[in-house]
Amino acid sequence: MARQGKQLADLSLNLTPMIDCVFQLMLFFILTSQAASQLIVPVELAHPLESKAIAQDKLDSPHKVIVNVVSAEPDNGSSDPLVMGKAVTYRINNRDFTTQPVDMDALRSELRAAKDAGGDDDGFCLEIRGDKKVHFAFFEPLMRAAGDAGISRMNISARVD
Amino acid sequence: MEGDESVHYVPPRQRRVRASRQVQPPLTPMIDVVFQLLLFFLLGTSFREQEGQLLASLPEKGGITASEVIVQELNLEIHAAGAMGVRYYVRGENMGIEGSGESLKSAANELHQLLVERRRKQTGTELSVFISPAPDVRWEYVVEAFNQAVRAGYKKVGFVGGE
Repeated sequence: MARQGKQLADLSLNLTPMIDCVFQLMLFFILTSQAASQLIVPVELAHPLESKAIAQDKLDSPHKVIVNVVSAEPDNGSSDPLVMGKAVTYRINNRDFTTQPVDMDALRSELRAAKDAGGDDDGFCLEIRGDKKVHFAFFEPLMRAAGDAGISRMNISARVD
Repeated sequence: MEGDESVHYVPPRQRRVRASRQVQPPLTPMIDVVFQLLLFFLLGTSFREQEGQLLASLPEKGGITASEVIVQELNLEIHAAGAMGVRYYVRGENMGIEGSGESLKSAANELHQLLVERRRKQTGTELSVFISPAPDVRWEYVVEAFNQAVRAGYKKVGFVGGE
C-alpha cells in the first residue's frame, strides 16, 4: 500500500489588511500636510497666557509683509552674553537684513517696496514673527521703519491656545 | 492562475471545468510605490504649532515718544528683572509686578487684574494703553503685556519708542 505523504500546510501571510493600513496612512498624510511657505522661518513664538491671538484662517489680511526676527540663541537658550537676546537677522521676502547694526534705510526701502507691491492700501499690514527670546531693542527699529514706510497696521504672531 | 491556489481554494473538479483564466494586473510594483510615498511623507513631515495674530496698529511717521504720552493714558512700563525675569510697572501704581520662572503666569494674571481694575475706574472716555518696554526686555514679555491689555478689553493699545 502506498503511503500517503503528509502534505504540509502552505503558510502565507495575508497582506490585504496591511495594504489597507498603508493606504489609510497615505490618505492621512496627503490630507493633513501643507507645503511650507518659504516666507515663514521657524522661530519660537511667544505663547501668552489666555492667548487672544486670532488663528490665521479667521483673519482676512491678504496684503501683508512678513518679517521674521530670528534669534541668535540656540533653541534651548544660552547664557552667552554675545548671543543672549540678540537677533541674527531680519528675514523679509527671503532676503536677510543685518541687525547689528540695523540698516534703517534698507529696512524702510524694503517695507515701502512691499507696500507698493501689495496694493498700497490702508489694509496693508506688517506681520512680525519674532522669536520670544529676542530683546525688544531689535523690534523697535522695525516698527519705526514700518511707520516711516507708511504702514499703519501691524500683526504680532503668537501661539494660539 | 499561479499563486492563486494558496488564497482561493478551488476543488479539483471545478478547476478542470474552469476554462477561462483570470487576468489580474500585478499589484507588487504599486505596493512598492505606495511604500516609497509613505516613506517620503514620514521623513518629510514635521508638525508645527498653530499660530495666530494679535492685531495692533503702528504709530504715524516718527512714532510717539515717552514724553508725549498724556498723563491720563495708562502707561505700562516693562523692565527686565535679571536675565529671564520681567517687571511690569503701571504709572500711578506704587508697586510693580515681578515674575520669573514659575511665577510668570501669576504675574501675567496679576497684570490682567490690574488692567481690568484701572479700566473699571475710568468711566466715560476710552482709556488707551501705551506699552513702554526697556530695550533689554524679552519679546515674549512684550507680547504678554499686549495680550493682557487686549484680554482686559482695551481697544487702543500701542507701543512707545525711546527718546
